[in-house]
Amino acid sequence: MKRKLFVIALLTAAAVWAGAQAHVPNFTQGDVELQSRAQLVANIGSWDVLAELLGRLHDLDTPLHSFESVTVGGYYRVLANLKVGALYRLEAGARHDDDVTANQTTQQFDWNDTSQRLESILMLDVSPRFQLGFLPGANWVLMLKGRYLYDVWNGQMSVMARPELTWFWIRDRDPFLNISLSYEMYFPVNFGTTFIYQSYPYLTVLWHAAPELGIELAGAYKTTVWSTSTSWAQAG
Amino acid sequence: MRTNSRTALGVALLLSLALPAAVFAVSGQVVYTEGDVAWRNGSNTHDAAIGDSLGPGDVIVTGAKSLAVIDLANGTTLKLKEKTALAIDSIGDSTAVTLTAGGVFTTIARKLTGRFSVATQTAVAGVRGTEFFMAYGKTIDSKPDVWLCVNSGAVEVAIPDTGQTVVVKQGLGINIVGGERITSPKRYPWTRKLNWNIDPGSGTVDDRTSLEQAYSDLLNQDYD
Repeated sequence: MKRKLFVIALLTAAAVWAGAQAHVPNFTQGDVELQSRAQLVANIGSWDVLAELLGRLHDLDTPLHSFESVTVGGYYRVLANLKVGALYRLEAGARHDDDVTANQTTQQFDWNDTSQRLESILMLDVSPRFQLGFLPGANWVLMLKGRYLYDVWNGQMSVMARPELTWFWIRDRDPFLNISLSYEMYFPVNFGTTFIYQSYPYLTVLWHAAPELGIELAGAYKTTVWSTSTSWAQAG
Repeated sequence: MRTNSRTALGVALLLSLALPAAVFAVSGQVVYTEGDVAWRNGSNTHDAAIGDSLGPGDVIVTGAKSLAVIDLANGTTLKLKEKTALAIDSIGDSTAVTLTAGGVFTTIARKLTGRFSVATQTAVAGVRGTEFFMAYGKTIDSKPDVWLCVNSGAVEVAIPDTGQTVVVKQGLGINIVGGERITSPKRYPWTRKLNWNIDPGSGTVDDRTSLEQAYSDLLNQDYD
């Protein structure tokens, strides 16, 4: 049974990979991003209730492209090393493949203005984490976050995977700052032509302003593989 | 001769009964125990029983899943948590006890007579009010933390070696980090679960609050 499942998984992965290879991506784009985030977390036993505000700037050349979101949801601590969560995000400024518009005059592409477009995202989250007390400084945690995302606006589904190494600066026995180095990858489920459509390393610094309030700054170099948009395909 | 012997025995018994009260004219008393509780004076150790008198030089020790309630003559009642060791330094105008392990709840049942203080290895908590809890936390880098929170009134915490003094008011708590530095008083969620009751007639007096909760669990942090 296990062998059969393994063969099926292998064949599926091969098919996905072959499919991805058959479609030449339209282009790959690298962006520097800066992000700020504020989170409110209330801990009630094994439950955490979370609310988050996020703002992000893409493309630090002009014109600036911004992204904003509000997220609410909660996590449940199943085991000491495992939390699962369900979250809802309302966002504006997200870009998808079909936001690329062919400019017939310049033979270049333009981006649709999505800054006012609201999209609802439903997310399921699983985050095993492990304390790495043997590292220098002792207060290290490795988290392996996995998240399923469903974009209600266009029906796109994706899976995110993120290994994240965090060091906590403890002051008076409480976290004061945490510094994380992460690598985030997005796998499209029902769209796109590549196995991974977005991936990026990023560095975050989260200040624990109060036990329930965290304020975060982050920087990333994001690589996105854009697949052919309808407009671009029609333009030939 | 037989009569004399009987008389002598009777006098000795009377003396032995009267002696503790005479010696500990100002004394403490064990008023409630659960589990393994003992008190020692020098090298002599006794199982504690309700009604036992305690005085300066006595050390009360509770075992695992045990507790003791001690009334001191100046109107102070102490509730010792499990795995606690508390020495009575003096009773009288200046009543002082020293906590060497575990945790202790302190309640002033009526107007305090004289001064009262609880000392740890490095800090002293002087009472200005009625109810507070003091306990050892984790030992980090060979230095034990001491936690204190006040349920009512106020407590002045001092570290004689450094001269640092902090007044902790009702509802707030402090940590004496590594026994060396007092943090600013603030509300700690873990203190809400403390059982302040010292009267067995009013319900359970056992307190199962773990000081582990006073420390941040890094695996319970949320950061997106």
